[in-house]
Amino acid sequence: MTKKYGMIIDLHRCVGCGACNLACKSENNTPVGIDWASHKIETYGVFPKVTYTHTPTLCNHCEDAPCVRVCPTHAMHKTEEGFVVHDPSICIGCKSCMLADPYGVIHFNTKDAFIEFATDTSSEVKDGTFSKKELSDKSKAPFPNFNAERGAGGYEAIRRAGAVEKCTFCNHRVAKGLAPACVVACPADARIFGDMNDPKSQITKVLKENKPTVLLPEKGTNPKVFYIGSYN
Amino acid sequence: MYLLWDIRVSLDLFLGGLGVGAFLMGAVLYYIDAKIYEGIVKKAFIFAPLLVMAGLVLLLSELGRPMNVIKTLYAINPTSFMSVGIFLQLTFVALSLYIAFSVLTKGTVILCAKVVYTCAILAGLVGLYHGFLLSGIAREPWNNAMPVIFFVSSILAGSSLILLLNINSAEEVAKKFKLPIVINMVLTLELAAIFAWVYNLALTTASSKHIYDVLMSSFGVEFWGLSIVVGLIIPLTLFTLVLLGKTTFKSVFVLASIAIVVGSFFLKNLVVYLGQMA
Ligand code: SF4
Ligand code: SF4
Ligand code: SF4
Repeated sequence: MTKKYGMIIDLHRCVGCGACNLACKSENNTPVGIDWASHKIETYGVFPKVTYTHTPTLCNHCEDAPCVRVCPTHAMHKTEEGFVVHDPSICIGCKSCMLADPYGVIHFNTKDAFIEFATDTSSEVKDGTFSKKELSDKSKAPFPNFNAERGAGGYEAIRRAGAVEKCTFCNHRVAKGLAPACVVACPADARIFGDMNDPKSQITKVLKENKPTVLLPEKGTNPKVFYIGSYN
Repeated sequence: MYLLWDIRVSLDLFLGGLGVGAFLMGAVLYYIDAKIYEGIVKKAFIFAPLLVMAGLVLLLSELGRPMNVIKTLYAINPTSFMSVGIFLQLTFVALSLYIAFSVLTKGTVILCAKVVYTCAILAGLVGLYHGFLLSGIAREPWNNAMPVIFFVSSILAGSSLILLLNINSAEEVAKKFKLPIVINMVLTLELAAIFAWVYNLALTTASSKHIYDVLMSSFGVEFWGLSIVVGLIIPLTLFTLVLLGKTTFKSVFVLASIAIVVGSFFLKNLVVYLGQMA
């Protein structure tokens, strides 16, 4: 049976620390301002009875993905395992996918990511601190924390200007039998990732034992990121 | 607000609409009598591809990776209106350029009627595509009224432009084809389509109601003033006065035609902008 990957986020376990966000940035070489793993905070109630929720967000790898439907070149496409991924080499940068995605998780590169590490020679203290360019030259990488593994399978390890990018469910890690970076980094074990077609997998069991919810169910996109528990 | 689709997309839809509207007007007159209306048909067939191409150039400049557009020719996605639309527009431009070249060098009589017919169908499809491009993305304000609103607006603006380019023969055409009645019918159809669109926004879902409130509170001048009053009500009133015998077609058609063209741009620009606020 083909695999069908999904993720559960246990809101009761989540402490809102943002480790998922940082792990995702390191793993996927995303620049400042582009966060594949993010969160939304909503405040409810009337003072003094005020409460808020913290909901981690990422691409839902929707079964009925509007971003895939509208893409004129199949740059945004679905793999056999159900990952919704992007091929920058055929993206025309029309941003239709961003307009069609009701979750706002696709980002557009207005400039080459980390380009300042190739061009910026200014330093905070002249002859005292490294410039960005020196840091890049010394570390022999496009920028100091560069993860070359992200470039597996021909994907642009650092995305150039003019195309979009988004969470890939860490497909490069899953291909090697590893869990996504945000799942591994979560200190509260709030994230469960796995094959929903495998009856013995933890994700299948937890989904059965709980009443999972998804974001914007009324959009009919059939997300594969599920939420259980409550933040409060 | 950061716009994913800026004014260049609106201009593409506006200029493309002018182009296909102009071509359709030219095609109608070509079939009625290519000889009598040679001057008008010529201008319509020459301006049509130029306008559509100008729009496409603006659109290309808005794309992040315009060189990749060539890849849309083989990486086709049948569920994407943009993918289908690129084919339609390229075929229309190629065929209408051929027609424009033939008309420039040999006149209208030599034209093959079947080629003009095929190109007119393509023009109609491109005119509809402009609206489907938006409704296919399925954001709240871009609902199913889009194809009708955009197509009718394109026909109105394109044919008004052709009248403006043929000031000397416009009155004769207007008399022969009872243009004030025809244009008023199409203007009324456009008003009805816009009413259906706004009515739908006002009554459907919580987010569509929110968009309706934004439209009424923040875009009153663009919607009521420029799109409805300038683009539709003023020409409708002027042509009604002509029908009532209070004035002549000659004295109002320039003002009415300019108002229709200007209104078409503001309406399309407003719709493109509003969709991105949802
Ligand atoms: S969450 Fe958005 S980007 Fe991800 S698959 Fe769904 S529609 Fe596409
Ligand atoms: S921006 Fe790229 S991925 Fe998105 S719809 Fe356009 S071509 Fe497809
Ligand atoms: S699955 Fe991978 S790419 Fe997606 S949010 Fe988590 S770390 Fe980022």
